[in-house]
Amino acid sequence: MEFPKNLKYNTEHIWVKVNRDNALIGVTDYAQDQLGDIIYVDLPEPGYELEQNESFGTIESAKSVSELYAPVSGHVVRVNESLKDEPELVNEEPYDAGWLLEIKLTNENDLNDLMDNLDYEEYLESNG
Amino acid sequence: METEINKKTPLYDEHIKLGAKIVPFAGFLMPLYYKSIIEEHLNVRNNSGLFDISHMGEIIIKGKDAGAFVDYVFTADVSKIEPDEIIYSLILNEKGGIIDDVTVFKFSENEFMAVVNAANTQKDFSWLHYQQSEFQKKGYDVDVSDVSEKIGLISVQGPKSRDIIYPLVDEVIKIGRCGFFDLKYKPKPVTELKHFEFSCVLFKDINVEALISRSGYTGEFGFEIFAPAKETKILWDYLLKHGYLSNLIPVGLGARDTLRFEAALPLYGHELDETINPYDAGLEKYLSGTKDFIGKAALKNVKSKEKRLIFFKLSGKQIPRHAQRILDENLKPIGCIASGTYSPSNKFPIGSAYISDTNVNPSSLKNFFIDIRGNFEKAEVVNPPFHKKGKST
Repeated sequence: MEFPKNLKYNTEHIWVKVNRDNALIGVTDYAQDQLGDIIYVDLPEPGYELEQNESFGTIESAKSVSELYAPVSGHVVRVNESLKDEPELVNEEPYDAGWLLEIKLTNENDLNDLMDNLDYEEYLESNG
Repeated sequence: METEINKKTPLYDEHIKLGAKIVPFAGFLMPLYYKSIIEEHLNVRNNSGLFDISHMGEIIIKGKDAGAFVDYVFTADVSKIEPDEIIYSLILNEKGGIIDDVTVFKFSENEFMAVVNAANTQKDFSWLHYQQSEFQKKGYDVDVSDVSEKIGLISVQGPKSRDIIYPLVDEVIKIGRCGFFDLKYKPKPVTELKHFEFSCVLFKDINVEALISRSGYTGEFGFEIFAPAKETKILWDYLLKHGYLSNLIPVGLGARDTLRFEAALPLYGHELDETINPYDAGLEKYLSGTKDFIGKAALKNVKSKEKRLIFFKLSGKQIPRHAQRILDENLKPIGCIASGTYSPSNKFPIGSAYISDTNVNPSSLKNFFIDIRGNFEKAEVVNPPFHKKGKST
């Protein structure tokens, strides 16, 4: 299982990839593995305001449905439209084609609350 | 279902070795899937799959009056089947509510075996044991025993199942014991078994004798194999080792559920429970008209169906889940979801529901909605099953 160095992680298994003012958000390899075959991802529309630690959608596998918790606050600018027809991209490429949202950060300090890849791996070991 | 202990089947270590995702189910630690529910599902539809269903319960009923007993506690005409046949039946309480749905095997005029849902083994055994005492008080000879822990149960399902089973077994032609079981007739060759018939086979190389039935819970051609618990692991490994004969892969409970639901087979706790009677569930054909059984008197007072089971598909992608509400076109609640899942064969969500509003006629139900966490998803009534088995029967 891989956890790229250039990403930040929250305890709800969501990653953030910061690119200047914007950030991509997705679920981690661990999360997709735990969920199994992903069938449906319920995401907000562009314009939606994400609030840190609040639920912004759900992800549904054949057996269960889980809430998605925002790692940072922000303004949704783009939604991964491919997931409507190919939700399995989240299983196949969780850090790449399986991204969920692109947001404009509203509070850069939120990033300080997140873990780096090593902390996240340690977190998984002690909580997984 | 409140269950404190997490029991393991004889194959638990094998599931771990195969990398299964393990979940507690009906008091057992069971494999939900090994790689992917969808892949495992489709492999059963197209090739074959290997299931550990050792969690299921087996209850043996024997004695001179076993025939009279099974006819009284089960709704179907159990005693009349041939002694190499299986019959599907319900166990009802005195009010006509469904205690369990089971298959019953006839070994001889004096011995039967009920295969029961894992979650209900204890409950069924207590119920049957109580009925046994009542029978004994009247001087009848019947004995009920729970042998679940002594038996491992492996299922091979899918159109190619025969390609792996036939070459690996030798016929057992003697009359008498078959592994754990006592058969009082000459078993049929496995190649001649029809649906809901069973026989006895000896697996080559490993020398394991087992009861084998043409039965399953997937809507496909398949076998269920009852082996002594201690020999279940050897048999599992043997079948997996020869998996190339039929593209056999291990399949978890996740796909077992999607497979059974596409075939519109009921699941206890979803389509069936003690508040539901056989008419509600559309299972009246399993009620004998010619004999008395527990619950029969109460069912006479059921004039019209209080609830009706319907099957539906969704146009959206969200999956309906047990106990969510069904709303009519004016968003008035008219019922509740029994089962909901994603159909890997059709690639859309499907479900079943009980319509409890007796003013609604399910056949004329056009537009209706499912309240999926506040989203009203449009649904359409479908005639089950969602999947029809191919040429193999």
